[in-house]
Amino acid sequence: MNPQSEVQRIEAKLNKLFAGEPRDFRPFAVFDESLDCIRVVTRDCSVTETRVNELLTILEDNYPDRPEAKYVGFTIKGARHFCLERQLKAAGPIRLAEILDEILAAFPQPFVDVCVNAVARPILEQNPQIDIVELPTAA
Amino acid sequence: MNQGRSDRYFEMVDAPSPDDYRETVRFGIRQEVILRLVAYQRKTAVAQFLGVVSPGLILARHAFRGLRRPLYHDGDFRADRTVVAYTWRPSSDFVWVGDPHYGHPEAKVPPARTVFVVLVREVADRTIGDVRGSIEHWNWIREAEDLPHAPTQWKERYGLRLWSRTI
Repeated sequence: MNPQSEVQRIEAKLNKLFAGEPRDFRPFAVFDESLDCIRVVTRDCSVTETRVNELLTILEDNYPDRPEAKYVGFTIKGARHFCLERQLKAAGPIRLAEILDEILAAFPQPFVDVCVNAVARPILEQNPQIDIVELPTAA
Repeated sequence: MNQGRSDRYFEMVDAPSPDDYRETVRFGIRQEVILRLVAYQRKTAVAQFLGVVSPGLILARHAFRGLRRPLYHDGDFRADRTVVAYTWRPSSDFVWVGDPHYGHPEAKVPPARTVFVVLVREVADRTIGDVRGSIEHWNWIREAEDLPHAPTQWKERYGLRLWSRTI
């Protein structure tokens, strides 16, 4: 398949899938139960994931308009596992800022501190509407 | 939970078997995963599934089993062991460009020194629907210097390197 027909194939499928969803993208935070992680995403774009440690990953826009606008989200991995292990609330509405505090307490390392305070927290401060994520009751 | 039922899936994708790359198996992407991406208007992620994952997974160069990070799922505190990561360096990326309503997908040259990673979860009951597992997540990660087509820190990320191959 040539590249142009490949793009046309993808466009046709996207138009069909999104036909009933005429809304703009909005930043969101969601719990991915299958991979036990909280995904915070503020832009619909191609991203590169940068692993900070076993609990935190930073998302960078692969083709940003401005270099300073490259951070577009983060992932808190093993979120429910972490909450259960540390005897934190693991179901219902959870404040992301509080989980970030706990991650800093569990991993008091300079690199983690920079990623939490210079990347993750500013994302939440710029998008305060996504500071709370709902964790469903565990199976 | 019966994750093996084929009617749970939006699309099936061929992939090299985690056990032996010379054998082909099928993974499904759950309707639930696609509907969540649609609900959050993640057109670029869906375009990547259609343009990178679906045609490209069969060309994966490495497979790893297990994530070296906490993962609680379905009552299992070691659910990381059921995840397989496929990695390779695709020739194209796909993104949604322009207006959310009147934009269009576009093929892009992938970011330099990155690889594509697809995470799948193997299902326990493989007798139903000929589905080996479910595709759960995909994204770009910087490439390792010591293993072409694999992500950086692959030894820290994954439990077991199942196989590697050249094509």
